[in-house]
Amino acid sequence: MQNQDSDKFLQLLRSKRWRVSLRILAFIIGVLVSAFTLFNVLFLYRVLPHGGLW
Amino acid sequence: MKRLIEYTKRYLPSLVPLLLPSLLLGMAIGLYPGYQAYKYIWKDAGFCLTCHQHDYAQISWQESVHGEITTCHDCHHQPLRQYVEEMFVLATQDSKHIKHIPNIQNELCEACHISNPHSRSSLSGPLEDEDLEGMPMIDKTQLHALHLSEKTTVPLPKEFAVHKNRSLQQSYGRLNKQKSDQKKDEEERLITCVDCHGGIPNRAHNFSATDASCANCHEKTAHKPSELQESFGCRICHFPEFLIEQ
Repeated sequence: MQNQDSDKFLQLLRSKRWRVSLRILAFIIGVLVSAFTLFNVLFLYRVLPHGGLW
Repeated sequence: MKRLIEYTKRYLPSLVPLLLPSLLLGMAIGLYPGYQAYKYIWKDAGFCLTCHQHDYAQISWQESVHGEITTCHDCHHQPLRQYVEEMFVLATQDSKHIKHIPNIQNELCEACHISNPHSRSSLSGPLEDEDLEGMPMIDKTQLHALHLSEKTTVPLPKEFAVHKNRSLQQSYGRLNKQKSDQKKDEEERLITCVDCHGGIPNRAHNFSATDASCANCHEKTAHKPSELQESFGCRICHFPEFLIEQ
């Protein structure tokens, strides 16, 4: 039963449609994570010299 | 959940090469919106003004010299925890009751208005180095330098509880109407920028020194002004000495 499930998942993973979807998802996650990270780094870079954390 | 973990362990090696190029490309492209978001929030006054509608404070800032070359964060500095505190205060208190005269430290003004500032790292507005070169520097202009080296016993503007005593607000520094009941601290202190640029007549981003600021310390002149002084005030004659470099 578990082997069948694995095979199905492997097939799904190998299907072209799934691969394209995954790549689009990865692309969106990449944009969001990177934008958020850069924003935070620059924001903290500006805020911390002013008054510190606390 | 257990199965998902098992699948992840098994198929992650094949997923990584599949997703890595897309992730890297997405990250490279994400740098641009990240920088734009930072720029808008930190360098554009429009972001702050979306919520902080201060009416005359906003107008006086926009029309002042500062309005042309600075943004909110150039002067409004605060530690991280205050961002959280402000949200709490705004959510739980009536902001109409939060009235005070801010006590601005000299270092803040000196970031732009002194020849060799302690730090300029806090400047975020559209200010360029060339703009700084043309500014009046307090260490080089005669009367600024003189005032900042003198001491006074007059209380700092923040000590005047203007929101509690309206008559004090109206009579502050008026020629011939100097308040005799203004309590003075016995302790002498150096004159600071806010004594002239952040007193009661300078509310809400209006930083120009007024005759009322002069009268607050120059009591003898304020009590018995000559005819000339009464007609023309202080600044019409003394203003250039605050701007012309030595």
